[in-house]
Amino acid sequence: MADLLDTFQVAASGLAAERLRLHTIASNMANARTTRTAEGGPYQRQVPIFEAQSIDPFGAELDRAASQVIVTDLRSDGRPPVRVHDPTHPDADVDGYVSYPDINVLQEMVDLMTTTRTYEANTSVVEATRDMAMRALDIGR
Amino acid sequence: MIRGVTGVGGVGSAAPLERAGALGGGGGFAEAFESAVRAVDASQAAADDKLRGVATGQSADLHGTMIALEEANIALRAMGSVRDKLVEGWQTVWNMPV
Repeated sequence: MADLLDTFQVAASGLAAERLRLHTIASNMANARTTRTAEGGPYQRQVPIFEAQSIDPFGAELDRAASQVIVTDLRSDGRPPVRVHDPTHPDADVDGYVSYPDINVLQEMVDLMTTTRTYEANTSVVEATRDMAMRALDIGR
Repeated sequence: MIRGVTGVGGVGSAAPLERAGALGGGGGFAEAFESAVRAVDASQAAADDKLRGVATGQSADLHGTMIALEEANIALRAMGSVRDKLVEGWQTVWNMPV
């Protein structure tokens, strides 16, 4: 049965997913000008991949429909690096070009705002669930 | 934790009829109340564990902790409601004219 408290679990998964997204945005912002990585070459912009997962896959139809979100993967988005002519840079190639990651800080800021708002929305779901449970308990008074 | 609250609901609905019959054998109300207390205690312990993790820096699961605390709070209030109902039932029996 779709428990009122199962909603907590779904909302909590949303909160956890947004927290991880915040983490990748922080990483992308911090490494906007990073030219060296362990794998070689400039930093690659990371994107979290979200996946819906039923909280009760063997339950009734309505229960299977209720899905939590999980982060299944962190992928680099595959944008080619931006080449900037700067022969004095230690990481410049033979032609004097430096490869920087193609990260637009403005775009990351917009992602940051949507992440914050989505987190907020999920906390509202938690609060609404809590309020409904409290209302249910008031019946017996 | 979630099962615990369901358990509390079960006690509330099953207690008045079944336990009243068992009252002569003793332990009717006490047994019903004890299972509710155990369920609430489990959710309190889970919330406590998470809170300790955050306080000691072992975990950064802030929202998980807050949600566990909320669940424990709801379970405790649910137990309080069940207790009120049990006491009410007991008093009804106690005040019964014989």
